[in-house]
Amino acid sequence: MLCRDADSCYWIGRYVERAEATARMVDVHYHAALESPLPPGQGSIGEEEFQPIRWQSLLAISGNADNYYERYTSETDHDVLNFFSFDLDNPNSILSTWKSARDNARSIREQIASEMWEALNISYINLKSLDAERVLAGSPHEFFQTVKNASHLFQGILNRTMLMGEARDWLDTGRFLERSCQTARILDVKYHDLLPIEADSDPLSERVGASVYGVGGAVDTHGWIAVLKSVSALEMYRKTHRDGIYPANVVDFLVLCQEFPASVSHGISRVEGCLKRIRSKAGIQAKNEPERLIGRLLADLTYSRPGEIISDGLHEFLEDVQARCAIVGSAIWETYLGY
Amino acid sequence: MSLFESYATDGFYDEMFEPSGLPRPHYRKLYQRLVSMSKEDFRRRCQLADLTLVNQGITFAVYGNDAGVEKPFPFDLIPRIIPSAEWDLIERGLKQRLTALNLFLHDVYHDQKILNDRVIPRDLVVDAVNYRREFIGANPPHGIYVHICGSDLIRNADGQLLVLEDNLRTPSGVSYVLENRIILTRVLPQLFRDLAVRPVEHYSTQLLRNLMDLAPEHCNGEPNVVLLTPGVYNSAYFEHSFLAQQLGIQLVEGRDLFVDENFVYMKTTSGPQRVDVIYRRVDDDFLDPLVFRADSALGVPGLINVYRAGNVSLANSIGTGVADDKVIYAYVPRIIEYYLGEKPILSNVETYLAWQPKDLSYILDNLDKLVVKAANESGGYGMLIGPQATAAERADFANRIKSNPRNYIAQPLISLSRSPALVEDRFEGRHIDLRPYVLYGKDDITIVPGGLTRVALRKGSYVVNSSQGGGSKDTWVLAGETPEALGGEMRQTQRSHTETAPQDAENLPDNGGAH
Amino acid sequence: MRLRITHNTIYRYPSTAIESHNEARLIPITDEHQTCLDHRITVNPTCGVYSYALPTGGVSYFNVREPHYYLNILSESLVITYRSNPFEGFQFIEPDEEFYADDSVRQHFCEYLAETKLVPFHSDIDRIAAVADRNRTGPGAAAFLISLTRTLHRAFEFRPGVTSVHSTISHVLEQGSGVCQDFSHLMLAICRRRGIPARYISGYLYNSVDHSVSPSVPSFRTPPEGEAIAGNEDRFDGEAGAALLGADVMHAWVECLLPDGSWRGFDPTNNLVANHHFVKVHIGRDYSDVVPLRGVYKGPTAESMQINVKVIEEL
Repeated sequence: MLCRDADSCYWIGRYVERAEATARMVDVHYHAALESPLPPGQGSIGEEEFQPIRWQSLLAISGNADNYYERYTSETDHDVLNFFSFDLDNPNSILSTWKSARDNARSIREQIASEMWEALNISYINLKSLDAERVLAGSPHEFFQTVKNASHLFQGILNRTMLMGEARDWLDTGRFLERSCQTARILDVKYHDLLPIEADSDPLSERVGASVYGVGGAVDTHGWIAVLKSVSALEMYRKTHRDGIYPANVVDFLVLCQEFPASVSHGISRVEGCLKRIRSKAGIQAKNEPERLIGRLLADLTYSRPGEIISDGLHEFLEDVQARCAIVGSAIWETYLGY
Repeated sequence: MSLFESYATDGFYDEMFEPSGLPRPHYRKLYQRLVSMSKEDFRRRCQLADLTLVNQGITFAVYGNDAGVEKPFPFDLIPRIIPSAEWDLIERGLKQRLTALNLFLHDVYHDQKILNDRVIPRDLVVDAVNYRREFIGANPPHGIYVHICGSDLIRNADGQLLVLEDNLRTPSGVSYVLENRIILTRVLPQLFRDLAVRPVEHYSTQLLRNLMDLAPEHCNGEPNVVLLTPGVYNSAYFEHSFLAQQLGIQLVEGRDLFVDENFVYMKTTSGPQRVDVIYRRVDDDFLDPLVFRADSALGVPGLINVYRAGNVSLANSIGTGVADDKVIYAYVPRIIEYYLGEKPILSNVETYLAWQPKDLSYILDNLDKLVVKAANESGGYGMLIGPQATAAERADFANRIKSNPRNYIAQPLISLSRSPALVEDRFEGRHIDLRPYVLYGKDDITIVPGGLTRVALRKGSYVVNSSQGGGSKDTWVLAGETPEALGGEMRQTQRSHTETAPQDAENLPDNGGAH
Repeated sequence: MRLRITHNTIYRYPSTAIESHNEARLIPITDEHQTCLDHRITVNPTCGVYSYALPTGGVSYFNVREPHYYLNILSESLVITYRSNPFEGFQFIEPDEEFYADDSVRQHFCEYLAETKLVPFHSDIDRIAAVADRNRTGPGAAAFLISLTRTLHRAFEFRPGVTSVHSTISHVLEQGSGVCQDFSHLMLAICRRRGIPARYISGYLYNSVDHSVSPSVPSFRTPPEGEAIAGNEDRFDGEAGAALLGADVMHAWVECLLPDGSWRGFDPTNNLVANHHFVKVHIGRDYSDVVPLRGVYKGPTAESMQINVKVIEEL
């Protein structure tokens, strides 16, 4: 397969997944904030007003806070929604990522099923016709649902139409690497989000467990539910962990659980499979650098325990996972895709 | 209410209607079907076709004002019909023309007999922008320079078909021929019923076979054929992608290829893979920065040397642009006679050459009547339509012509024939042309019946280029007319035209008059 | 004469260059005045060299894909030259205007009569032609050409470094100085303007005193017409000129068509008529047709280029 075509497949996979992840994050964040677990008046801490919707953490997740404040002064719902959804100057906005996916598909139309291209193109034309005002005036949830559906439609067509060949493996490599990365990122930032409310208390310590802010408290539970919802994991989580919503269980489910399709571990193991097939099709015997890196990451995920991860520092762990995903990405470029 | 309500031919030659207002014999069946359709029904089908175009992204990129914007190429649903006898004439005329042009190209890059015999002034060729000295003496496989040619034909007010220009470099548009047919059979299948419309989809098969035949000698087994595109920002990118898919060959950009030790390779995830034949849609200038424009990032350094060594084949070959130079165009009838000893079957449009002092003064004196064209521009750029231009525009062109006469030609404004096109909710006459695609293979020349009919959708406009507000139509060549289709009107046409010069053998109902 | 020519060029890069593709026009021509007995180009880092013939001379193509810090091109030739009396057959007495005015002559040699980018018909050239006319010894074209060769040699100073490979004759006229490329371009313009077909010749000049050619053309590798290839790292070889001062390099002169149908060489730089000390390598309309080494690569601008040319008589 032509390096550039493989690269485009890989990035189509990543961009579609990224658009979906952004839609999920903003959606859940927006709607979680509509219901507040805190009684009126309790929202203020010190002299700082509790924001109706705390958009800052979301800006942090996207890694684009700097980009945001260059062009927007405050975090109004309209501006933030626009930034994440339609702003073409934000390379990670839904429209930007979808456009990137679509442009990549356009450059390799002859490599992918025409239905896949059409799905990307039609959704792009659709998304482009919307703007933040109209979305806010209507139902933002419906908009995010449209994006998720577009992504699912695309992935469904992919599953149904693409030959089980190299192009498909590259699409999957991109999709699952991005998904692992995004899940790790959501968890990381959401976890951070819960911390600063009582800066001097450790939300994981038993000591403050009873307070509304502490583990198991109303704010905490509400926060973890939001995390689970943002990756469509709440219902599945409840099926697996019937004893309630606890950080260790959430980490177990979203990071380590092989069976859950949005978990970090699941994504990495899928990437491992793709890379193995790609290599053997290329006629290379020995495992190469991307496989070595991904295999090691998978081993770490497979043989870690949730409690251990939390006690060693969840943030450090998640940061490490994201960094290693990025290194895998560069190794893939070096080994296969560079042109 | 009929879509033809208040349709008027306005004194132009109309492809569908006689001056009397009756449909021409070969259009009768189509006319009856269209007349029986309601406006709403027709409109709905148009919307369906438009939606298909947009959803499939059948678009071209526009340069200039809206740079980078992709627009769908408007598709007008009313087909243009060419009777089989007329098609036969076109086919023979274009084969003759391409055969001669190919001999011309071989000659000017080898012995230069036509120049030594002073049939064409030598400087017009060797000093032409698109003459490639670098390619003198090189031998393309089977001696073929132009594998794919798109010649533009127009019909004048008398109904005579004329060649307006030849496109011998990287002619585009054939994807619309194939797509238009697919879409029309989907949205208006009933129009095709009992009209024997000749198919077009074998174009891809034929082209692929011709390309495979170009495989270099070292190639054992199936040759690796690729299509080289300038990339997604090129105006014809959709076509490149479409053709690659139809031909089942790899679409590549310059950066996907590299040259090593006089062979061309493409970069794949399993390592370099040798490339044998390149259907290139990149102009000469950008093909190889080592030999041509050094600032080109679209090309492949070293490619021309590999080609010259015979280790890769290119279609079209290098330096073909010298033969579609608009100044050389004026000499094509002489080129045909020189190499083939035959009279041209298809005539040229009368052309004035500004480099000839006599013609120059005529051009300058009659700018308001003439169409002036730059010798090496295409796509409707660098052109002045005298009768429709302002005095300032004409003055500007007069200066341009005077400062570089070699670069300009002028032709009388041909009143292009018209065909009905859907305008808002009814049919109106719009000017059209025809670009058939001619494939020059190892053994023979083939032309897919029909070609691209381009239509100037702006009222009164003569410019059919997609970049200038043009659209396209499906073009039908009928497999053969039934006796009743060849009505009395046609015989009358024949009689009136046999009185004109012999090469004006247009519009004949059968082969009798032309053989 | 039996002349052995070694022409060595080394480019050095501050960091690695890759994907270097090059064309050399360094193969001596074989015609009635010289025979090229042997020619070889050796490239380091090692790679294959593919050569072919054009009517104007030979071209060699090679590429080095791997990363490299230097590129060394060694061209070795063995040539026999025959013309010992350069003035043989010159006709000074009869006027030749009729021959040059003939339409078939003008047509047939139109390439060598036209202006080019590097050889425009500058308004000052008539002045130089007038001087040459005053000093000519007869009405024959040969007399004018000899006089013109001398006029140019006297009126312009040989000074390397003041012009570049892109200089047109306008620069030379303004500065009153230049190198052999500039002298030749000037002479081409004057001849063509007068209707005498004239072509640019690159080659070697045997200098019996120090076994080297007279110093002349400052550079070989032409920089690109435009800027770098798109992308930040892709860059062509930039300036080459200055590093060459005093190096023994390749020479350039002019050949003009005489009414007897022969092309005869004139060297305005040295005020010479071409004889068996001149070895012809490539023919062109101007310098851009004969560039001895031309290449594109990805990497940094070369920090230095050394050229060493030796022409030795083999006895």
